[in-house]
Amino acid sequence: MTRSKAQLWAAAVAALLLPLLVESPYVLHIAIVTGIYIVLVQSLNLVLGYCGLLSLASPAFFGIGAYVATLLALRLAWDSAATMAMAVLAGVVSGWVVGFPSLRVSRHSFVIVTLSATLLLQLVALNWEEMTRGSLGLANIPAPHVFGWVVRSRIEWYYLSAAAAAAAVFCTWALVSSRFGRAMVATRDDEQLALACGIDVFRTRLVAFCLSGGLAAAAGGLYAHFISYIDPGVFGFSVSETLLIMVILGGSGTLWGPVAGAVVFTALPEMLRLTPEIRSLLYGGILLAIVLYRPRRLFP
Amino acid sequence: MAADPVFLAQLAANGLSVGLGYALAAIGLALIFGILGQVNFAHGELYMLGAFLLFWAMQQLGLPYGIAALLMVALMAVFGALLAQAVILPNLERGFESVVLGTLAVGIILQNAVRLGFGATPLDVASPLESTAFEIGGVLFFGQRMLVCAAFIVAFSGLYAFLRYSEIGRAMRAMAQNREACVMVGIDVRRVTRWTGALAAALTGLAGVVISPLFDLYPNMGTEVVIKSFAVVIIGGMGNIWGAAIAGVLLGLAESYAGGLGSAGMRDGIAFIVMIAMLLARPQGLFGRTVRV
Amino acid sequence: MRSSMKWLFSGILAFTAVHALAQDIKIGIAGPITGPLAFLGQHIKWGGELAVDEINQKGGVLGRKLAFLMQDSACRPADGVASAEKLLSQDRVDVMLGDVCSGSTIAVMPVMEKAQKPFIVTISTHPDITSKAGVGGNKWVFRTVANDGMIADVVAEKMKGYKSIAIVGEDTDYGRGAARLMKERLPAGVKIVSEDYMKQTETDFLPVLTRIRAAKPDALATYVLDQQASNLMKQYQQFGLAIPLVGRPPLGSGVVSEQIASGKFDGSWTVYPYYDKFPEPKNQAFTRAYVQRYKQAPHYAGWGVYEGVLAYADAVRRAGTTDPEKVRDALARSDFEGILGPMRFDANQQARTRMMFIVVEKGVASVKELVAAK
Repeated sequence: MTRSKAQLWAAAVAALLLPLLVESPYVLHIAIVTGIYIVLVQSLNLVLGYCGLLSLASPAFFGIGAYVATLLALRLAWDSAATMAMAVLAGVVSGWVVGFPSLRVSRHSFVIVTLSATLLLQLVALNWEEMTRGSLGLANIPAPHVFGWVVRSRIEWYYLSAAAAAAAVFCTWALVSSRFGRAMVATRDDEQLALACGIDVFRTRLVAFCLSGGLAAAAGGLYAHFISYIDPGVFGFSVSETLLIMVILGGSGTLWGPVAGAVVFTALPEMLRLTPEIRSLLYGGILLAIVLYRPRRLFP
Repeated sequence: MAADPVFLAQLAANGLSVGLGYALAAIGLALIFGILGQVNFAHGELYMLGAFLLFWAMQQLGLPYGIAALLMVALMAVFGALLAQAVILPNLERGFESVVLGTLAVGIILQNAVRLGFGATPLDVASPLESTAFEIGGVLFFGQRMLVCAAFIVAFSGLYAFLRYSEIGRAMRAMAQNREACVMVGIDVRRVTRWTGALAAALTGLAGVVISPLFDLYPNMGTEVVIKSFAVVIIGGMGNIWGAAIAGVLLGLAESYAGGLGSAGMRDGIAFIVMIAMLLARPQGLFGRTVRV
Repeated sequence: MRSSMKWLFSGILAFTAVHALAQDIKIGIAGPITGPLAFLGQHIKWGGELAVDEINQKGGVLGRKLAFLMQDSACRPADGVASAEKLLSQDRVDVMLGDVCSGSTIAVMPVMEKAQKPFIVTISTHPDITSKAGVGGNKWVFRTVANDGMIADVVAEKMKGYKSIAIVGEDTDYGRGAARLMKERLPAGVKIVSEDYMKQTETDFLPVLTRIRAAKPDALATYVLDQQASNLMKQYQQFGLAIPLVGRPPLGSGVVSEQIASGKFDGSWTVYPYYDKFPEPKNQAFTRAYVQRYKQAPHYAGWGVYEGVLAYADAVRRAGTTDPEKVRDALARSDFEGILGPMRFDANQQARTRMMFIVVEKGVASVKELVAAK
């Protein structure tokens, strides 16, 4: 077994046993959030890592997933399997709606259009009060219940989150190893050549964008059920910042790189809580240092 | 009330002055887009830094507004060159995501450094023109806002002349057209990059200087500016300074009418709506890319 | 090797921090150290530290010293929850104080219930916090300041006599919520000519002021916080308007003192839980100590946290222990004498405190009367 494979297995075992080794609810909380971030990170990894498109639309799909799952659970009392499925569907559809116009423009414009989609959705969430209660937010989102089983304790949440993360990684792997995955990479590496080979670049990117929307929305639904309170802040730009850091520094376009990125960059701000005043400053400093001096990626 | 001509004229006057402010704030971003082909995520913080440096020069060094403004512009130019040298240049080969992240990091650092250095309490910059206003036919014109318009005109003309007639200006235009060709022709790309950074930072800092007396200063003030600047640049055409000017004014007017006749929410949304409409109808913006004069 | 230095450094920090605080009674709070309300976060820290130091100098509580621990929530609910989790499980705080933003406070409420520790809300004013506390469900939540409903009662009373008003508020749970409560209680015959909610970071009030200039209402009901109010008032002056700002403008805040002194805002009034210039001996002593130490007058947020800490210390003394359940019971029976009078909690564990009616006359803002809650 190669060294990296062995490391992976060790990490997987450690992840499985974590709740039994660690008692602190705070650490478990961070671990659960990390799991959700892993799902989100793979969503961006698909678009940025494998298709080469710098998208700032992740919070848009994340927020849509969160709101759809919340509204269905609160207003219609749907079972969580259903709310999550609808959230994912909403994500995929939104991916199409946002992607269709944005993928036609230049790379720079794409960045800004995806950003504006996110900000526009935030405005909508703020102002469409009948639906979203605007800035008051939606509280008391019920814990996920699937056919009678309710996820309440932190340990149960941990395994749910870990399962979701594993599923996200698996989906990404399946996609990337397929013929479609090779088409994605082709469009990233050399657009002209891909076109010449007969790959429909626009359609490939659009499909990837839709799938990424679905993944991000799934993360959003999980998040809503976990924190049990959402407000238009879920569409905030800082989520994009964090995700970009995780994907690019973890190693965009690899399977496990962004996962490592998610783990490190969820843990890092929490570790820096020891120095609350200068925490954000340190964060920026570390980030800049890594960008300027970094090795190619965090995970070989 | 909606049909009252004085009211509508006031909205127009407001929109024009706000719009020129947007345009002034956006030119720096347009230059970096057009010439270096990069997205500068520290743009808002450059604006904020300009305003805070002005405050510092006036408070700590006791300089009057005018002199402090000039000093600040010079300092910002130096900072811009440093930023280009340290963050943009090394990452140009690594792909443009690196520049995005690098400038993002710089933005975070600047915001927090200013917060730690000046505190989070909103600060006030006293400009001699602050409370002045004159009225023409029932429509109010505010002194400081007129200064913003004047600053824009001066800056824009200066930039135009610089790009048209100076050697570096020509090199910049060349680089906006085709970077590889520049290298082949023997243009020092690094030098041009530094100059672009300096120019962009100085202009953005100038915007901060003339606009900040209108509002209070606080470390987060850059976030607003980034979004509006991006909108202006997209609507006008990436890198096109005429485009930025006209788009800025258009945006200012649109917002003024949306806010005055509609609601504040509409005013916030209009920037996005116009931007997205522009991208759907005419992705290259009103005037297309390239730094043309 | 750069990263291992990082680990070493944080490890040492963590170890010393934990060791030093092992014996103290720990009071935790999640607040906006960064973000648009960072200046309120500053006052929270100052108010808390001042209270803790005053108590410690007098010998502490039950022979133990107090410690004040603050984490950054940036007023975001998720960060508020993460901060609370850390403070509860890592730092093992004995009590938590509420955040500035009601959204973050509300998100933390169930966390406190699960942790079974008291949660004293001293700044957030959202009425939902009251309705969910005490008999409303969560027995661990106490609120020491007046909530938006109580304040709206007073505001609506004072609106009698106006024929028309315009409303300007921040687009948050506070701005919209408080404005809505006021509208529900508005006396008949008062017309609302315009209503605008701007995002918290909005600095440009030109369109709104232009519209108000044309509509000429009798008063402008204002529901924004200090930073925005300062910008609003600055631009208002440029317009040469003479309409009083009423409702909840932060007239007592140091940030707007210059504008008030200009004399252009005479006739404006506000109903606020606190004003640092309130001429009462306890308040004057508090303000003097605050200014001496921090060079700024206390903001309502700073006072709220200060009194919250004192009220908690009082409860611990009466309970004779820091056992959370006994302290909670002691709090429920509280009779703590604050600056506004006795702090007594009702069935929803809301203190029915008096509120300050502040009026601006001849360039000076002063407390005209203390209004009792209904």
